[in-house]
Amino acid sequence: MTIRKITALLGLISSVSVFAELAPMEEAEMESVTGQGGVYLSGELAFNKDGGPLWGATSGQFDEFGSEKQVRNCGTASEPEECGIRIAAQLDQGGWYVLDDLSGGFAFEGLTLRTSFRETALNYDVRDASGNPVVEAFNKEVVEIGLPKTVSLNNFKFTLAVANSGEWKPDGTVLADGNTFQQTNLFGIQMNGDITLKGNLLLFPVN
Amino acid sequence: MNKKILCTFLVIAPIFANADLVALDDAVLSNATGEGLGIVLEDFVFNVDDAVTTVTGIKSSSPDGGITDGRDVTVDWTEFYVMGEGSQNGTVETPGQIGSLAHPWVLETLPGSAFASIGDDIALLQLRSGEYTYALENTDTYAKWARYQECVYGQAGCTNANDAVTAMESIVSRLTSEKNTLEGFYNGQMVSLENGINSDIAAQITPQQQVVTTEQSQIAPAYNSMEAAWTASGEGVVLGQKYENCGLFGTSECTTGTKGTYNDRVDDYLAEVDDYNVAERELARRYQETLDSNGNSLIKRLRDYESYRSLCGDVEASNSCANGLVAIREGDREDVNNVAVQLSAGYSRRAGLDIGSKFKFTVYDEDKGAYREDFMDIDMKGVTLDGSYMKLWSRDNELNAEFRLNLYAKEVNIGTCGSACNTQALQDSATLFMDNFYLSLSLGYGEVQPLKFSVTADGNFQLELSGVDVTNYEDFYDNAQKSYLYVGNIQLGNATAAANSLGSLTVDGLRATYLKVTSHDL
Amino acid sequence: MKNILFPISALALAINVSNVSALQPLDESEMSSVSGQSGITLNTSTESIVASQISYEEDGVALQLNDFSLTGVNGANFDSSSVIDIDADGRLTIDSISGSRELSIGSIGLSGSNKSFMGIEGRYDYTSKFHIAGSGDGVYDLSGSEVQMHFDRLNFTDDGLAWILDDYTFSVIVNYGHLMFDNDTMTIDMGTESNRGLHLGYRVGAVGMSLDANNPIGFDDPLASTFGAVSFNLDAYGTFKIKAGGKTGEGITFIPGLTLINDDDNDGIDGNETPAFMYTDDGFIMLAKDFTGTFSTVSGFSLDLESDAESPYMAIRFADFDFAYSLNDLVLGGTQADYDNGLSQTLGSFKGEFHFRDDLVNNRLNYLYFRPGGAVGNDGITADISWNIVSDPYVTATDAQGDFNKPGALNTYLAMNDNGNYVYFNGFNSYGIGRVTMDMTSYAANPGTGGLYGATGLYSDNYDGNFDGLRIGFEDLQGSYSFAGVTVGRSEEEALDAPLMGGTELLLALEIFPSYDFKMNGNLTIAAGNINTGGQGITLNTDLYISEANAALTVNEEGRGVWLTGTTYDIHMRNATLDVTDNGLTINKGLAWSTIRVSDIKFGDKVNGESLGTFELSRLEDGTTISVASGGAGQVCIGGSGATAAACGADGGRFEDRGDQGLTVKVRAIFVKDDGTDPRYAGKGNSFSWTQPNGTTLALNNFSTNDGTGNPNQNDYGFNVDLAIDVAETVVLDDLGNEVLTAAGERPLGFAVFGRVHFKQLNIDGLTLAATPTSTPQTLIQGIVIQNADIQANLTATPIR
Repeated sequence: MTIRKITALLGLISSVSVFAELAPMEEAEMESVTGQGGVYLSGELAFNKDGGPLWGATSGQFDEFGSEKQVRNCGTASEPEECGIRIAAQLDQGGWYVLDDLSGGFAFEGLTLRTSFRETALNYDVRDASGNPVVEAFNKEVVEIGLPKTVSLNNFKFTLAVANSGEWKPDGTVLADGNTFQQTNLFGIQMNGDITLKGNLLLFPVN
Repeated sequence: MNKKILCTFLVIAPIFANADLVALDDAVLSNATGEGLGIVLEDFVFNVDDAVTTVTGIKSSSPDGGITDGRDVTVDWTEFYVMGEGSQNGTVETPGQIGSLAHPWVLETLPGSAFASIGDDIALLQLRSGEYTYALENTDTYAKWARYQECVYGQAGCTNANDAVTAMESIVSRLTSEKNTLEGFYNGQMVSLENGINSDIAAQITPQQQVVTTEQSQIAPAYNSMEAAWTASGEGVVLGQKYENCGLFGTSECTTGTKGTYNDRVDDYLAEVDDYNVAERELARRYQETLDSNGNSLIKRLRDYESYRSLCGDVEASNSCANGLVAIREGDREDVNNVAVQLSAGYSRRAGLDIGSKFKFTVYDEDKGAYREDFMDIDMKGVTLDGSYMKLWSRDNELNAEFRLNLYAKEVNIGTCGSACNTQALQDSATLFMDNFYLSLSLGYGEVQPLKFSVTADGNFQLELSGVDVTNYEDFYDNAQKSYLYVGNIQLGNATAAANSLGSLTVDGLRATYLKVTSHDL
Repeated sequence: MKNILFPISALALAINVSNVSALQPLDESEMSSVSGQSGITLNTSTESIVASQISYEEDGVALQLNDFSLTGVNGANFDSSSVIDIDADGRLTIDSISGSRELSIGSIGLSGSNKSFMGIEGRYDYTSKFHIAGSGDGVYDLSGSEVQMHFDRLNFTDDGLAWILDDYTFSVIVNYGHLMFDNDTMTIDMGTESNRGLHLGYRVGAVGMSLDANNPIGFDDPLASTFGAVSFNLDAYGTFKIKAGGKTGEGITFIPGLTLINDDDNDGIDGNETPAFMYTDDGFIMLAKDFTGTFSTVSGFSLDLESDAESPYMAIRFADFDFAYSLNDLVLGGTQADYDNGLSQTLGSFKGEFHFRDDLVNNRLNYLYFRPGGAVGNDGITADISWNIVSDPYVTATDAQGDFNKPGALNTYLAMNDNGNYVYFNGFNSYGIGRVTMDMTSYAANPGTGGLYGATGLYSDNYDGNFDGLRIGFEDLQGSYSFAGVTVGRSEEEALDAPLMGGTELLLALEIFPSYDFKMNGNLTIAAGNINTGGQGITLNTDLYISEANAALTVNEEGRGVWLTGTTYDIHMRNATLDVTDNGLTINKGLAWSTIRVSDIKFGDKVNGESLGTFELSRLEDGTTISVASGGAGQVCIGGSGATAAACGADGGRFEDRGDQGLTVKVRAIFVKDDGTDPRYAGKGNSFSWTQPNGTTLALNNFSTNDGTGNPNQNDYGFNVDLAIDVAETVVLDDLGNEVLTAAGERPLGFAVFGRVHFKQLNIDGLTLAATPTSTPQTLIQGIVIQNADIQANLTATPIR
């Protein structure tokens, strides 16, 4: 009981500092901890901004080297749309999981890339006598990717589907195993606008 | 174990388990031999803001049975945020931590030898969240404490961490007294109770069960020949009734010809049914009237024995009661106590995450003949995920997985009112509030029962959990992880009115021996 | 110290001159008609001059020219005519014109070795003017002298094979040249920038090879396959000193302090623009409009002949040497007509500085030791080389935003100017030591012991034969280099005063690492002519093994970051070609296969960092092309689509015009698969594996491209990586989301890379996981197919402030 009283008292005193620990470090403090160097990147990552080299929504389109593209329309007959990237993976001997029509762009200002040497880490699993998490020595280099505060999505979309062939085929094509090509679209996601993405992604080896 | 009990009380495994302890060992082992990439998202804020997200490709079912496609269901995903705790439903940008330098999320490949349930000749890929051992930090122990605490610690009216301990104590004492009552009733002679039951069953019940079975097996052939005769007789009466339109006045039972044959068959059949009933009654009587030296009936002794086994596990001479509910709850009490002590001392748990999403579904309402809008607003507060993992490996060129989601949230609120509810009170009245929400979902157990995903030839996907058979069921029942769902308090409507509380919900120790989920095009 | 002009201890000549008809006595009557003003005309007609050996000996070792002969063409005599005069200023002038003659030096070697560097054969004629006037105080004025030599053919022979220069001309015109003698030093003063002493011209019509020792190509025979025409046009000014004594004992020391320059495109005078350098390949050109190169050294290049246990050698040593250059308006691709009509696009301008210094503390010296005899046969050159290029470490400076690191004072760098903006790759340090050999080799003479497909065959990893061409061999060449970082600026001063940043990570796609140590063994054989098209160009074959390599992926100025350590890189290329085409410089890698194995990917410092495991990348490509062209990204729309500023803005994007200069590199990789159809592919493939320190191995197998038509053999589109590199303005936001501008109110400059990856179809056979590197891998994913990809990343890098 006595121990409990003492620890309770200490807990009360130290509870203020515990909350202080939980506040995020100021940018300036963080910079003095990490090393200098690294890059600040601005720009855009876009998937199939103007369609891709394999499929054209209408006939008569040519790729960069002069060959005619296959026709595949990812919109409707009245509003043809260029297709995005199709990624198919086969998990066993059966069908394929497909991420189809992946297109759109992410524009951002302020993705930072650097490595920083972190000397200490806060470990909530080990508490000191007053119940605060212990600051342990960490001493490892981490790759620190600073996320851009705002990312503008420009018509980013994709469709999740299942199919019986890794390659897309026009309707009615018979595959090598005798079945007709079939792709069933499960659902699609479309995003457009600005999203907030803050924080740092840290990558480092663990053992 | 199962050999000692002959009655078929078991369908789902009993809650004996050292499963929790074994799981922890597995996890700790993987920590020691693994090498991998640590991933941490520090000071993370993600908010879709006013970017417009729509989900396409979902249709309602077709009204004409599939001849035409159903109507499109438009799903507008208007909000999605992942932030730190205290963001007040995503309105205040609070940085959150997903993993930390000392406890990162880890992506690693491990040899099968790191896990007892996976063969040594293969390797697996694992993505796991950080793991904590401190009682206050570990989601399993904290959730256990929270289940008994029922209210959310730190909110109004919930400042005494020992409420959980008190609740726990009363449960343990209730169980212990039940155990003591049973032991007292039988003078501590539980082994001889078991032996007595077994010998009585062998002497009295089993032979009678044989008789019952024999009698029962004679019913079907009798029924078949009755039916054959009935058909031969022209099916003039309802099957099972006799022809009674024979004789002088057409009112006596037929005895000759096909009808007579049929009537005889009916008699035979009824006799067989009667024999069976008699045998059954005799069986029941034996249960009731086979007494031990103290005059306790077999049925009573069996029930008491079952209760005792549930409380204590296997029966032993020393009555150690080491494996049943009592032991589990005593273990729980220790965990709950640890957490309560730490909380009472003023230690605080690391901050969790706030995750929320808002959907608007526009569906065509057949009854109204117009589109209507449905809303769903999910907000989770104070979410921690430690102890979760996803393992992937391949055997015989098939992808197998084992998955565990260990999610604790201080609050999970589901609102169903959209823009029409423009005050907080209106919003609250249409919201389901769940406090101390803990979901520990385990799918798959190593190579004994792997989780498989596949795509069928006609383009539907399948999720399957199978593989438990006669060779590995013991390992499965001893070691496979169970799933748990606790909700401390479910409240409909106004968050504080006691009248709206539905109490708590517990699903404790769920395990599937077989599961198959297949999607279908509607 | 001797007072003799050239302290050469012995110049031994054994000259046999035959049939020289030169001086004839004039009889009295003829002499009376001779008056003093017109000078003497000396006509010679010689049958041959033969010397069995001409040698220069110094410190006991002699450089020997054996079997020297000078003869006429096809047995005729060779003529020359000289006019000797003294003009009114007391200047002696000797103006000569010669006819065609043939030179042959059987072998050039060093005493004490029976191997030789090479032999020389040629047919040439010349005109020369030698004008000298003394000023009485030991200074001699050579202004007005000139030499122009024209070689119909000049062959460098090696074991019966030859490297042939066709139609080779060089000329030196002295506008201003003074010769001074001072104790042990002879100084040639060639004027200043405003009064340029020399004009140099150099032109080679074509470069070819003779590869059959039994059937050598004669001077009149045409050349079958050639490397195109090269020409230089430069002025020179400054000084050049020749000093007695080498590094030790006897020898010669050369101390250049001169600048080579061609700036007639920028001098404001129209009509006399000649390119500083031009290379023509089948009518397509690569040229630099203007060039300036400054060579200076304090201690000089010393030339000594020495001998050690292995062999005698000629040593050239330099304790310090600084070379600064600037190459303006480099044009790549297009025809001469395009250039003349102003239609060629330029790459921008390049400049740089190299600083060589001896580092006695770490024993890193600068020298070249040439030993006679190469790696193959009796002839050839073996060079033991060592170099040490240095830069000062970065210095810390402060500005309004805080502390930052900038390049040191002594800075070895490479800079690029793109539409007025500069990007500098600063703080280059490099040192190395090892052996390089040069030989002429022939495949027919030594096709190896394994045939085509055997264990040591032409298409194996262990080919033991030779290829056609000039073979450059590397034996344990160990070296290292590193960059401190990139800076950008609107002027040169601004760029050298700007904060250092990363950004070289963006060049990893071209396999340019910010820091690299390596040990190289193997060979690279260069042949004239493009073997695939039959036209001009260069054909390359190589088997190179780079080991003990450590490459940095991203590092800061202290060398901490992510390192690939213990890397081995085994590269093989067959019939790769280099050409200048309409679009620029095109490299076709031919059949190329390689394996990179990284023992540890380390986070932190390259020795003590934490390891993420081992990875191995194997590649098999057939017909991959890399083209380098002028013109960067041009106009781009970031965050939207639109070809004009208005259309881009309407789509929510930001329009940027990165100018018409810049560098574009397009890589079109054709990944092929060994499916049994082509025996050259056997045992090779494209795969990637990652092995953790605990032994588990994750592998991606057999990735290959095809054209998505269903026919797996149709594989022309390939896997394309296009990179356009510019220096451009960019948007930088501070923590509150406001734009950060420079003091002048402009957006900051960044290093801009526009990258695009596009392909029709990429197949990956599977993702497998094995418990140990030797156990049976289990397949997690049976197959992955990616189609119709066009991924663009348009990124500008600026320093983090």
